[in-house]
This record gives sequence, C-alpha cells and structure tokens, in this order.
Amino acid sequence: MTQNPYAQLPAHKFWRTGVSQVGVSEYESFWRSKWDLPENARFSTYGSCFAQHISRELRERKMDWVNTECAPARTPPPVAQAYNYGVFSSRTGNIYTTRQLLMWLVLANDPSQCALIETWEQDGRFYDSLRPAVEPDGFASEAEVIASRISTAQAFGRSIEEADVFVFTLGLTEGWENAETGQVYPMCPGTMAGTFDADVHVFKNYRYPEIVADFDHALTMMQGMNPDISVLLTVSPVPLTATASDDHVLAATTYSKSVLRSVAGDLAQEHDCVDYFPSYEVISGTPTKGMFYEQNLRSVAREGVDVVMGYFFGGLRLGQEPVARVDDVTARIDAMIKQEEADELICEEMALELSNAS
Amino acid sequence: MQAEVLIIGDSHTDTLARGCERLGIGYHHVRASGGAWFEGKYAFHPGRGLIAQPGPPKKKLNAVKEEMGVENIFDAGLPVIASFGFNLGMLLSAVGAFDHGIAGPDGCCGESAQTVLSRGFAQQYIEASNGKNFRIIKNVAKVADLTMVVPPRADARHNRFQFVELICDRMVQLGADVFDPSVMITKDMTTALDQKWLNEDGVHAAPEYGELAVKTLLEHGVFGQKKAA
Repeated sequence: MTQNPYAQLPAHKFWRTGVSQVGVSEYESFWRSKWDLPENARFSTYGSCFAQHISRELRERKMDWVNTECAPARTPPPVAQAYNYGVFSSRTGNIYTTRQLLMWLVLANDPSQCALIETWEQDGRFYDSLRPAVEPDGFASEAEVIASRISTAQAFGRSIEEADVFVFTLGLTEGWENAETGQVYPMCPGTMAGTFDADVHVFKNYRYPEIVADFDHALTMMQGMNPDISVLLTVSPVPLTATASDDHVLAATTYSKSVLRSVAGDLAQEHDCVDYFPSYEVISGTPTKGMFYEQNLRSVAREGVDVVMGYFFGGLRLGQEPVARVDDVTARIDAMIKQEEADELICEEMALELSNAS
Repeated sequence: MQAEVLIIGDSHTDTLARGCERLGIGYHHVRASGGAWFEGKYAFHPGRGLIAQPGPPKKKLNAVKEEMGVENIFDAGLPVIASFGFNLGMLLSAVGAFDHGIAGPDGCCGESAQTVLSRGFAQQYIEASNGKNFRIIKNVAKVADLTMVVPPRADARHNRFQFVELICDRMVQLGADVFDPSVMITKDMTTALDQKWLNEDGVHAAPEYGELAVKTLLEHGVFGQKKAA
C-alpha cells in the first residue's frame, strides 16, 4: 500500500506539532528566503507603517540598508524623525498601495512629472499631496514642494538601482484617487491636508486583479532600473484605522488583509524574483491570541516586532560572497549621523483616527 | 584710548578689531574660537551677563572684565558688535558631505545638490546647531545695542547664501540688528568677495574689510556718535 503524502511530512507541516505545541517564536522552518544573497546584500524598504520596523532593524543590525535621501550629517535624531529622514529608503512617506508604488516609479523614471502632482496650500503653508506629513509644518512654497518631490523621486529611483532586495510591505487595499487626473493619494484629501471634494476625490477599494496588475507593472519598471533586483513582499498586520467602504472596519480589515495576503502569495509563486515573508501571520495569526498587539488592538507591540525580525533575519540566506561596492554610502551615513532610533513610528494613516468623532 | 564699542565673537571679529584700530576707535574684545562658541562654552546669565566655562574661555572673559573694570561686561553700556552664532564652516561642511542643497524661496537648491532640504528643515537644523548661541544673542539684545556682523562672503556657494539668510532672519527675530559688510562691496547678496578683501587663508577678512565695516557702522550711528558728529 502506498503511503499517503502526509505520512512523511516533517513536524512543522502539521498544526499540532508545527504551531500549537511550539512557542510563537520557535516555529521550525518557518521561512527561508527564496534567494541566496551576498553577505552584504543591500535592502531598500518601503510600504506601510510596518515597513518602518524593517528599516530600523536593518540599521540596528548594521546591515546594508539603502538610504538615498539621508539627513545631513549631525542632524539631531528628533529633527531627522520629524522630517521623516531614515524612515524609509527615501522620503516617500508611507506607500500603502501598489497604485501608489506605481506612481512613485513613474515619477522616478520621469521626474518632470513631479510638477503635475497636486500641491495643497493651507494657512500659507504648502503640502505635498503624495506625502502630506513629510514636513511637520508643510513647505514654504509650491516651488519648494516640487523641488523636494523631484529630489525624493530621484532618490527613490536610486534606492531601487542600488538595492539587491526591495522590501515592500503591502498595507491597504483602500485608497483615494482624483477622478479627473487619476492621481492617487496616500491619505484621503482633507484628513491631514488638502480639501475634500466629493466630486473629484473618489474612494477606491482596489481588488485583487488591479493590485496584481499594478504590481506587475511596477515590477517591470523596477527591473528596467535594476535587472537584478529581488522583491520581498510582506503584508502589514496593522488593522485599518478606518474604512471608507460600506463594511464594518473589522470586516474591511479582514478583506483588505486577505486580498493583500493572497496577492503577495501568488506573486511570489509567479515570479522567481519575488518572495513573501509571513510577518502578517506571526503577528495576527491565532496562535498569538492578539498578544502582539498593543491595547488599542492595532499597534504592533515591540515583542511582536522582535519575534518577526527574528524569523526575518534567521531566514535570510546571506551566504554568498560579499559583493564589492564602489561606495559604501550606508556606512558613511552610519558613521556620520549615528542616529539613535526613537521608539515611536510615524504612521500617517493614524491621522484618520482624528476624524473619529466617537 | 577710551573704549567706544564692545566686540564679541569668534575669529571673524579680528577684522572688526583691526578696523577699529585703523579708525582710532577704542574697543574691548571678547574673542574665542568658533569651536568654543559652537560648543556652548559661553552663555548668558541674567545677573552676570556673559559667562564662560572654566578654562581658556573664562580666562579670556575675565581678562576683558578686568580691563573694563566691571563684573558684567554689559554694565558699561557700550554698544556691541558681534560675530558668533553663524558657525558657517561647520554647517556647510556637514550639509555638503552628502550633497544636500537648501531650497531657496524659488525652490532652487543649487546645481550640485543631489538632495533638496526644505527651508523649514534648514531652520530646525540651524536651531539645533546654533541654538546655544542664539540664546546669548537674544539676551544680549535685551541689555545692549547689539549688531551682529555677518562673516565675509568668502565663496558663492548656494548653501552659504541660504544659511546666511536664514541665520540673519533668526537673529533679527531675536532682537539683534544684522549687518553684512559683504553687501557693501559686492552690491548683491550672492557674489563672492574678491580675494583682496580676504586674508591669505581665504576665509577671514582682511583689515581693509574690517575698516570698511566699522566705518559703515560709524556712519550709521551704531556707535561712536561723537566721532560721527
């Protein structure tokens, strides 16, 4: 009699021996990166709030984190943080959706289009509609907004060109677009800056096919900039602060995360250069019974981040010979800035809670 | 010679002292290195005026106090011309290390800049760097007629101009008058001074520059009203 396919499977393939009898930080064979990377592999990090943890951990572990829009030397850490330096590999702010990612790639490839992006004026200050919180008090002029946006778009492009791995945390399916121009927004206009216009600003809850199509387009563009780049996807375990859909926020969160998780898994199966790291499962899965969330059941607790990062760095295959680099920018920056990391993350989406009247 | 002015600041005040000497104006001079000012070795005390950390800064200050015969150098009622709190060398090297360019009001950040810095960020950066000096300026402006003199425009770097503009705006906000002798010579805000106005080091101004600066201050009645009259 032929043995059934499960008979020879290792313990981690079974829930009882793989999960329920094992501590949440002790899963065996939980994740191994798809690729063998050089010891000094360079990582760019972008995405939703949760991606900031990956940026920080890469820096703390003295790994080669690409920072193409660093703060000037001797910038005090609180000032750097207030101005969103060192949060992601360039100052894009949170990129919650693949549609946003695509927009930044378009701008990186053609910075002249930065002038076409909306700038919002409010009380004599000017805000970048692509990253309304990047400057705590906005910019001094529209010209300055555009100059800074161009600078960031170029830095974003360099961060792709210089990276071995582009780590991207998928955050939301929900977003807002301009019905007339097609511009996407990271935040609904009117929440952090700008003015909401119901005739122009349309809610989008991107569906699976749209997200996959946007990502495929984005991947093609990234490969045009760096043919050897690998993309490591994660899904943010942070629930939605608010939903603009017709669903309850819990159902909307489940929908959003389920779609993103499916997209990430399928893309990893589809493309050799794409991998998925299951941080979402570690934080939000039933084995943790919610213990990796703070009291608001939304923010991820430090303990959870630590466990996730343990799996992340434990699973990276960094066995390849180091690659010779022309200029070790990250090391220069580390040496000169020596930024101390603040514990609090910058999450633009949390501003939505300010709209919660209850 | 009776002192008519109190000069305070870093090495850039040497030219002001030379200018006074050339014009026969008596002065007292509290002078320390730019590093000493930047590191906060001087501060302002409400009762004692300018104070200094033990060591060379305090010795230098005490020598001036003794020369003036006062415990608080501002009690003499002399007008103050000063040059500290700019720290341009430090600021320019730090910002230039990674090719940052400070956006001007028109958004321009200089041709060589790779990364744009907003003016808002630059203001915070300056405040973090020069804040200790700014506190002195704010307090001295309350107890004396204070004119801050901008260091000579030794080069035409974009970031230099932006830093000077932002720092001068801040000093005015703090209650000081600000005077940029370079403008008298170049007739604009951006052109670098001809080498003849600079010392051999290419950074500090020649005595002629100090003379012109002091003469201009005299003409504007900043001090030495008797002479001007």
